[in-house]
Amino acid sequence: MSGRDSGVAEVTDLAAVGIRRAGRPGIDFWTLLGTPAMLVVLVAFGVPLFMVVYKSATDPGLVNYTDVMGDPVFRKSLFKTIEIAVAATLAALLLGYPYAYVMARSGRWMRSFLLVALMVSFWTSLLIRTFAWQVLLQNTGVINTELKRLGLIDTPLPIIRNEFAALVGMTQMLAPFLILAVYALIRAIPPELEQAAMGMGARRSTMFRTVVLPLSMPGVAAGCVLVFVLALGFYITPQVLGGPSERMVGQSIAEAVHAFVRPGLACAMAVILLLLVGLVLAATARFMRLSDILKMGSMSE
Amino acid sequence: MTQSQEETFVKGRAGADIEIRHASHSYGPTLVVDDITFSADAGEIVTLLGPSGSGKTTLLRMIAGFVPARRGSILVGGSDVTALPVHRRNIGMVFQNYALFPHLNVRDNIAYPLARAKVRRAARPSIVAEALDAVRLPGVEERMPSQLSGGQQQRIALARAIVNRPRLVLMDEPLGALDRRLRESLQVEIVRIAREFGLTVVNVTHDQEEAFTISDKIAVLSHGKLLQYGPPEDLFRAPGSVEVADFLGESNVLHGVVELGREGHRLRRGDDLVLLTDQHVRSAGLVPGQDVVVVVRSWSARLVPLEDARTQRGRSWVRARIAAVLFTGDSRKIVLHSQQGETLSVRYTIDAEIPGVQGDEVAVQWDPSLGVVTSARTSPQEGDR
Amino acid sequence: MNAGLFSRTIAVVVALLLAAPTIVIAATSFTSGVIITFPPKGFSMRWYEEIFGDRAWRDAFVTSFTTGILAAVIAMVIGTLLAFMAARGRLVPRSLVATLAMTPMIVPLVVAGIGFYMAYVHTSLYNHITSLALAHAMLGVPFCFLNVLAALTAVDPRVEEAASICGAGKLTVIATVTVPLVLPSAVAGGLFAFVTSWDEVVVATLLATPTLRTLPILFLSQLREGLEPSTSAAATVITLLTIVLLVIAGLLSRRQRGRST
Repeated sequence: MSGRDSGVAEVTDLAAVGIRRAGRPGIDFWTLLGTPAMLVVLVAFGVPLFMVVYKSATDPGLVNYTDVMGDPVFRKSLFKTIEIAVAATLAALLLGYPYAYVMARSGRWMRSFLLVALMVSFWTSLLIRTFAWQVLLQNTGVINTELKRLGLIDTPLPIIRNEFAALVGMTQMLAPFLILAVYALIRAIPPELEQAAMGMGARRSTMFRTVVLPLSMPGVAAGCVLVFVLALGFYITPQVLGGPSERMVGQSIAEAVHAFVRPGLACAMAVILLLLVGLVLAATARFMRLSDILKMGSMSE
Repeated sequence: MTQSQEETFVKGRAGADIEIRHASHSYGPTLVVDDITFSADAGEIVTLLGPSGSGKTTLLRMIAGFVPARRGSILVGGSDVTALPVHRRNIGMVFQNYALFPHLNVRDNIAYPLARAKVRRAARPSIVAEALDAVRLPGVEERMPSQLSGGQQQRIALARAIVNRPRLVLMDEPLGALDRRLRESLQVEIVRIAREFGLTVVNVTHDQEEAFTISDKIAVLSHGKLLQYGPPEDLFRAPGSVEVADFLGESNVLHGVVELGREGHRLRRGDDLVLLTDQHVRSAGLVPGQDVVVVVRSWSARLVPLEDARTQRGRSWVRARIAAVLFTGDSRKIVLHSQQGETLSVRYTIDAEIPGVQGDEVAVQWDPSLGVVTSARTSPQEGDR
Repeated sequence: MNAGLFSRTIAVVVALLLAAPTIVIAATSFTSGVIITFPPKGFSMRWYEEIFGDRAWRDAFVTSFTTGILAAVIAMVIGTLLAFMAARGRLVPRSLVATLAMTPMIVPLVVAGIGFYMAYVHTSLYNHITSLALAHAMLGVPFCFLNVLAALTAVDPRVEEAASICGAGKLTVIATVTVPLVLPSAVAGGLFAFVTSWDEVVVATLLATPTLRTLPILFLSQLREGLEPSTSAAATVITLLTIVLLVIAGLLSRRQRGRST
């Protein structure tokens, strides 16, 4: 039989399977059941989100935005946020890519070791990891104490309350997302492809550049977007590990809320952060499916 | 349900007869089931046979109630079930991919229809055990479906389909996912179980061998239409159309114009002698000058030397050159090219001697009464009516 | 094809960096000394005894656990219903339902947090555990939604048909076949939702009051005051519960996958 005929069969089968898809229009059972759930999300999440936007423009007015953007501290934190997010994304990529590659292309023991390390870190909450880095990095912390005991240094190394510490902490927290995103894609590349390239005389570096890198690019892109967007919202880690100049937008918002002199101001800041995230995602959506990125975020947590 | 039916897996309560009247279903502008009518007696095994896209599965799903009948009606045991929802039809069904409940063990799978029919909980285990005995797989109650092989899963599916003693059992390519050996042994099993419990079965397949093995009646479907319906023997001996003949086995299709010769009616085909019997002329209403096709089964044709063919009386033959002799496992297939440019095939058993080798010119010869003749102008299914 | 030596070295170093914080915390929590040192001095459970004996930690534990359970149950119900609606409802387009269910995942926590605070502060829910649970439930909805949607797409429609031809009406099919088949995924999603709530500090900080404090909040305030081995002990307890729950969630998902194939 011709392909067209089997196509018809498939279409009819799909229709046939639909004890639910076919049938009369109007409200169906699942819509009826799902509508209250939708309403709960709209009320419990949509309304709060709407209030942020609404208050930012009405309490007392759009002057919130001019005030916020006129505030040098906020402006600085905005640029710092982007700067740190970019730096953390790059660091996560540089460290995470080889990690994902080795995890996908090595024996059972190595893979298990890397996977366990990844999961242990993933499953420890961000707050606790922040605390741990504090324990490790502070002047009386593990690293400085050990180095002093070994006689390598006299005065503690300046490895806390600065951008370095903030970046170390954030990179360690964000790299796992990137690793998982890239790992999923490298696993999908048949190893034979690499063997074939090497068999045809390509050097390892050439093979990597012409085979693995292009094929894993979607994972890299998804991972980077995810990490960058998450980094934009970070503030507790840079606040605890960084110095006064590592002030993120999130911190400004949280402080503005706690002070609560002008809620509209905090809301305006929140909207600006939201816009920033939205811009990144909208730009991404032009060349990849957002749901793919979000799935990566969910498989992790 | 009466007490006795509840308590045991009663033998002998037979399935019901079934009648399909003008059943039609369309998807969009395409009629996938087109005015199909046939009936079967209680206890018969009916097979809907056809290629993919023929509408056989849709028809089966209409009988089950998954697909609504746009027109026509379906009667089981004399009562119209067309408007009845699926779960009220008292029909058992076996699916190609088994469709066992993956979260339930074998016992709960088979007891599922019993639970829906409100059979007392205490009575269920013994009924399940009887059903398992019937499919010759006793003692696997505690296993999960994923722990069973494909053949075993299909037996469980069969047990589930018959445990409630339904009026009708539907099978949607039940053996399609199994390998050949298993398929053949399960074909025998299905017939045995159907006979033992007097089940009425409607089976769907595209495998004509399976259809012939298990069926009392075969309905040949193509493009949503019922081409022919009847016992396998009748279909095989007297296919009503080229399409049916073609589908029921490998055959050769020969075109030609009817003419009246010395020997009676024949095809005008140069050297070749393609005789038409009086039976052909009468039933197809043939007149000289008409374009017709003659279908000859590959197993019905033999090869003979050309000179022998010319001297033998009363047999049809076509001159052809042997293009290849193929060994196909259980038989030999000889591929030939006729002078008219048709590709022909003739089947021989493995140990038979073949009168010729590749490149030889021979005659493909057959008994004219084994050929099927239809008019070439009208489409086969219309010619059938 | 194995990776080269250079990349393997990087991987091992990064692995150590990834695991180091958790290991250091777990190790220091067993110290018998009064300050955090690594390697720890001696071995004792005194800091665990201290946090379990401390009312503030105990209350916070109870608050966190209750919030987590509530949030997980709400997220599970809402996420599951939305997944069914997206997969099988006919009225609202699937993409619209999915967008609604997934949005909590892309909104930065601090932005959502302000919203929650402003919306809830004037209601009777404020300063009550349900406000926090509801907010956390919203953060958990995407996990439950995605998990159940994936499971639902994997359910073989023929299995549901088999149930209906066995005599089950529509609701019975759902109750005896569909729901049991997606339940493991829903529970796995619920566990993710619990862990999200259990670890969450940004929204919690904004909704917290002196009488409503979760473990992470108490933890954060200790972090700002100064580090003690008891902090390590609390961190270890929090992490241990998280790991146990996530391993269970992983096993549930694996079982689900095993079934659908």
